[in-house]
Amino acid sequence: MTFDAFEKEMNRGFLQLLILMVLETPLYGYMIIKAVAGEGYEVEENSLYPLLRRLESKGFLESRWEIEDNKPRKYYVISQPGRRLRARLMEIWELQHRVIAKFKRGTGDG
Amino acid sequence: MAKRLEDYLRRVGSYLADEDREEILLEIRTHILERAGSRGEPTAEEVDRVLDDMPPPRAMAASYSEGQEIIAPELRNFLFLYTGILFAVHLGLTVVASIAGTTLALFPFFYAPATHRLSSILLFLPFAFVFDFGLVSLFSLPSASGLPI
Repeated sequence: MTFDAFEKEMNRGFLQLLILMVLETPLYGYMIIKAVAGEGYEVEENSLYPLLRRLESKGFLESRWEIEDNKPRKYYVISQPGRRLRARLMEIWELQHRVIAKFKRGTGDG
Repeated sequence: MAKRLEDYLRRVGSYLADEDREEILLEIRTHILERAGSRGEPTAEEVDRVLDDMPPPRAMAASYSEGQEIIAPELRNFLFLYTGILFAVHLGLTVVASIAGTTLALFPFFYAPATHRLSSILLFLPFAFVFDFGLVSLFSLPSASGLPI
């Protein structure tokens, strides 16, 4: 497994949580990419769009198509089950963060 | 502009399952045009630049089927084992059929032709192996594993 594969694997869970947080406000795909890029995090198209569909198909996101400026845009927003999932994922993320911070001190990685 | 964009979408679409294909392609099209024309209507050059930066069509389409395994991962180890067992039985029946001079068939699982010619048997065996592999694969689909997909 290359570094890229490890990175992709690590980003997958993070991206799920990030999307569930960002979509408190309805946004379409390109807006999500721009919003997240503004914070210095790059999301690739082939990670974002399939993930949006998977979360939608499991009921964690809702969507609607809108025509704006003659362009069809698919807006996504978090659903009630999505908020429950987000709360659970946040607990996991906070626990992971604490555990990593604790053990990082012993690695000498700074 | 249109031709290259249409060609990209057509190629992505050729790798997608029928279900939701049109909606996926519409969303990708919108994304490309939004990204290309973030300051208004995109020019041909702007669309070309975005297309140059997009994942290859096959990779783009493949990302939509991630996690949807054709063979249930927990059954993968058994795929070749069961294919081997089935093929061994098939081979045995083929030998018996050629000695007895009678066609043996248990539809749809086995067919062993009555032939005394070694060349015919050798030609038949690869077909038998592929058939056996396909048969075992059918029973190895994720839905056949009894676990939630």
